[in-house]
Amino acid sequence: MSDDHGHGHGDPNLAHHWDTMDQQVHAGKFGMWLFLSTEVLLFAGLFCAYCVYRGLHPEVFAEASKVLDWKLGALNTVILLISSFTMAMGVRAAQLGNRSQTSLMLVLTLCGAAGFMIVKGVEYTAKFEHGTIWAGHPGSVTGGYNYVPQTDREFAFPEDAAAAPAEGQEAHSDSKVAALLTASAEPSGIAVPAGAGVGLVPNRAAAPPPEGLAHGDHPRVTTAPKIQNMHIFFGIYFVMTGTHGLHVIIGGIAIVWVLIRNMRGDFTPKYNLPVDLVGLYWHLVDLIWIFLFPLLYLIHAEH
Amino acid sequence: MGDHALPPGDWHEGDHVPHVVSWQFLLGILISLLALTVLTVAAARVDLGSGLNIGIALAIATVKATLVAAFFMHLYWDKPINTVVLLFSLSLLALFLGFSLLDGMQYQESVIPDYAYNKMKEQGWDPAEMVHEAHAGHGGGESHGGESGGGESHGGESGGGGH
Repeated sequence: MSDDHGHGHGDPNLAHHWDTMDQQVHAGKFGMWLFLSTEVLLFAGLFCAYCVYRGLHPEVFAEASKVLDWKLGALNTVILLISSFTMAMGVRAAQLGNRSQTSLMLVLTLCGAAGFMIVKGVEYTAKFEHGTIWAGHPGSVTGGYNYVPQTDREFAFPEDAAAAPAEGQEAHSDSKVAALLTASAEPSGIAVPAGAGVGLVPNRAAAPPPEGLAHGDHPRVTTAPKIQNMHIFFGIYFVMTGTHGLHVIIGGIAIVWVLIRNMRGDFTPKYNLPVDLVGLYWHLVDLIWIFLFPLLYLIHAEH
Repeated sequence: MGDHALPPGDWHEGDHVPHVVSWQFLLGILISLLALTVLTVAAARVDLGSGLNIGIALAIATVKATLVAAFFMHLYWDKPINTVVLLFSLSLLALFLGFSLLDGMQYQESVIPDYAYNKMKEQGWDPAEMVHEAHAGHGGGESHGGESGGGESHGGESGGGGH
């Protein structure tokens, strides 16, 4: 089973700066955990953005979250949990020196990674088709100055109706309003909040549809955004799931690497640290998704 | 907590003898995780008020994360220093989120008073006049307020009259 010669410096897998394999393993794992803690802090920034924006705009998050298909999110959760299990089984098989089982488990984990990315791809594609994406993207219909309600004149907030009667609204939903909105739409500047501070309420519903599209006949909007500023949610959604997806891809590449090394016969019951460390990385990817799933997909309708 | 079968091979002083967890135990963890996922989805479908809903979702997620970290990631059997590293980063996360939320709760809608109003004036037209036109279009015969009308909607966030 093991083809190395005893212990200590005779082992080619033992780096020369360690006295024993035990030292090497503990140092390697400790280093990996330090790296994983920086990963936690990387995502901490994203979770912070999520918390602040959701705290400020709970209704936007509650409404926008409904656009996501929780079933696909749940499917991805199950896929990642199972792949996490197969990864743990792979580490176990490597510890026992069972090469073929290690390979099998690593391949199954890879299938999980691929499956996850496929589901993610389906979700992303749908969002690009519907225009439920971040602000500033030309195809976005979720908010900001590209906001296009499904039928532009029917759409109005209750308070808009009270403040500005329909006829008045008609009178002002002209290019003048649109021109102002466009003129002040600096990508990173402070946006003029529609209807805030100036008593100019009709603006919200006044954004014209993109050129070449008739009023009330907007083929792209199949998921009608019901409220303004949903781009806040989708910006955060895409950055969080995108960063997470990038980790899935990197994790997949790392698994391919240990899979090749395993098939080459590099690992023994005494030396399987790379499998262990890649496993830790993969579990962290799972761990982050465990929080992303309820926070993005399962926001209950608030108030 | 899993079997403690020694992996094959002859082991010497200084070798790293890994803790091998039984597959039944790992499977048990997986089943628990899947069950908790079902629970998360089920809990989200019951309206308990947004605060409680978020709290329950995060509590379940934390239990799941603990299972993954302790058993799939072997923290339970590792040297405690690895757990300390994780908890350290999590406490920084809590500090970061906590203070950001404290700040967020104090957020003012308009940091610069009448920013939007002044911006529109800069663009060369009068928002107050527009509001009056809107009312005129509805009720008819209302006079243009000009600057005095501006004063009316000048009052800050609440503007708009209909709120």
